[in-house]
Amino acid sequence: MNFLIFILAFVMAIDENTFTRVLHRPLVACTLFGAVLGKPAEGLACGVLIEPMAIAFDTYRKGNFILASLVSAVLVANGSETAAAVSAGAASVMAGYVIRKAIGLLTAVMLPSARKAAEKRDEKGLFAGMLVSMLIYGLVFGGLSMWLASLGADIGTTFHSVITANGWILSILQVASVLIGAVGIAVLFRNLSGPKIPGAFMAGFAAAAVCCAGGITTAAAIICGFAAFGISAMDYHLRSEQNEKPAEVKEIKKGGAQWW
Amino acid sequence: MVVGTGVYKDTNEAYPLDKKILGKVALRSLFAGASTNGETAESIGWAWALAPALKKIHTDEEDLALSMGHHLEYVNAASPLTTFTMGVVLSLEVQKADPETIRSVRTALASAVDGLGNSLFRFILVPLLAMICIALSANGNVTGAVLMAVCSAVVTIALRMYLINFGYAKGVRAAESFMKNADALKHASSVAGVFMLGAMTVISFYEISSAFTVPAAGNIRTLSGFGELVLPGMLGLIAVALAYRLLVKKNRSPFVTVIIFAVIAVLLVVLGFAGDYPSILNLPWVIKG
Repeated sequence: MNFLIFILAFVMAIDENTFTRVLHRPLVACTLFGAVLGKPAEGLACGVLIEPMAIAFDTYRKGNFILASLVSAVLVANGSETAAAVSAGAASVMAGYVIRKAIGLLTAVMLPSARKAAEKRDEKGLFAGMLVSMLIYGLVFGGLSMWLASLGADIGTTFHSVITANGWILSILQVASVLIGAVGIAVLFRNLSGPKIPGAFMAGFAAAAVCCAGGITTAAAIICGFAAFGISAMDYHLRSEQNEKPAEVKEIKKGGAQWW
Repeated sequence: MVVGTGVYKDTNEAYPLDKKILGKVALRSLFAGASTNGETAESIGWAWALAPALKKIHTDEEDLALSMGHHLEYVNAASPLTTFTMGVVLSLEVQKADPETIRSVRTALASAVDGLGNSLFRFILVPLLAMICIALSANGNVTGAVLMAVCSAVVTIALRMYLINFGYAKGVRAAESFMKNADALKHASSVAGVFMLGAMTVISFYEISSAFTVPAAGNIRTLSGFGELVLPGMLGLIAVALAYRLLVKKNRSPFVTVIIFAVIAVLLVVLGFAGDYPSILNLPWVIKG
């Protein structure tokens, strides 16, 4: 049974970033975990209660519901009340998110080999880079889920005590994973001739900062996207006009109407 | 030479891509998000998805290596709408546009489309579908859960297939008219790309939580997420400036830069300035719990 849990969590972790991107949602995940544990109806009941939480969490782009679904499904399958199981599951949402971010640090290890593959025009090398990254996500969540499922009724308390004791390690991995994104942005900034137009970078930074400070983080990318294309359209128009030669003005005969 | 930098040798327009190749790219794009990493987001999956089309477009081997290389730079490709950006980018590749123009259009469009896709799916379509499925599952019927998975898969595949053709067709038409003024196009697209890069600095770093307390007028005042209150993305701006300085001015390799950033992450968390879980140290400004 634990192996089936591993397979399910493995597939859900991969699907969170690929394909349907819906198998990890609590409504589906709880039902599937519940079915494997022999209590599909109870699992579904947990999923129905956790799904609205997932919708609310999405507003902040923070939350991972694979472990939360597993914790609540295991608890309810071990005889806990649905409400208690859902509460214990909901407490695991942030842990799942932090673990997911931390994996981003591990998968960045594949970048040098992917760059070498691109240099050699090796499509298979790129595929290998992607496959290994995908497997890291699947294996971490699969392994963690299998271990958690083996704890049975103690799943909630053990999981939370382990996370509380070692949370700072997860925090380091999470922060490092986000910080190294700066390296990717800096490389792109150099290759985009960013140093020649630092004003554009600062304008984008200011626009997004205003959006985030105004509490519209989720719409910031869309608003900045429209602004970016508006500004670039204006820039293109002005530069195109500069390149166009003005029409030759014919000599106006004395006494004739003014050309304007 | 740095991977992915330079200009194409063969600048003759390539043969247009057929629907079969575009379909292959769209299907591969389903897995682009699998390669998500902290440094360049979904770039490995993005480059792998585009590889069949790039091979058709670039007959010169060095051009192909350059093209595959620059597609490995930072790109957001997790959204189901990402194939629209792929279509537009491929239309520019077919026209053999300058790599800098392609890079700029990709950065600006991918970031904006990712935001739009996330908003559309995560905040409208998925919640709507979830609500319908919750109602169907209320009496213990598993149809709701099955329907949610099936509907999402069908919509995602259909949308990706349609958008790559749409993006490619529109991109070709737009590129043909814009390429007449290549210099103006290059500058305008660079402005859009760099503008979006500035925006992404805030958006991608906004996820780091920070919490500490400061004494204020005799009381302890808790500032949760202080960066969000003072200036959102400030940490991101400092990090990008530092990374740029290390990479370009100090000529450090990306590997060394990543190691330096890992050490900074340890310091930030241990000193209690960042992270979702508290530091192990009992510092006065660190919140426990």
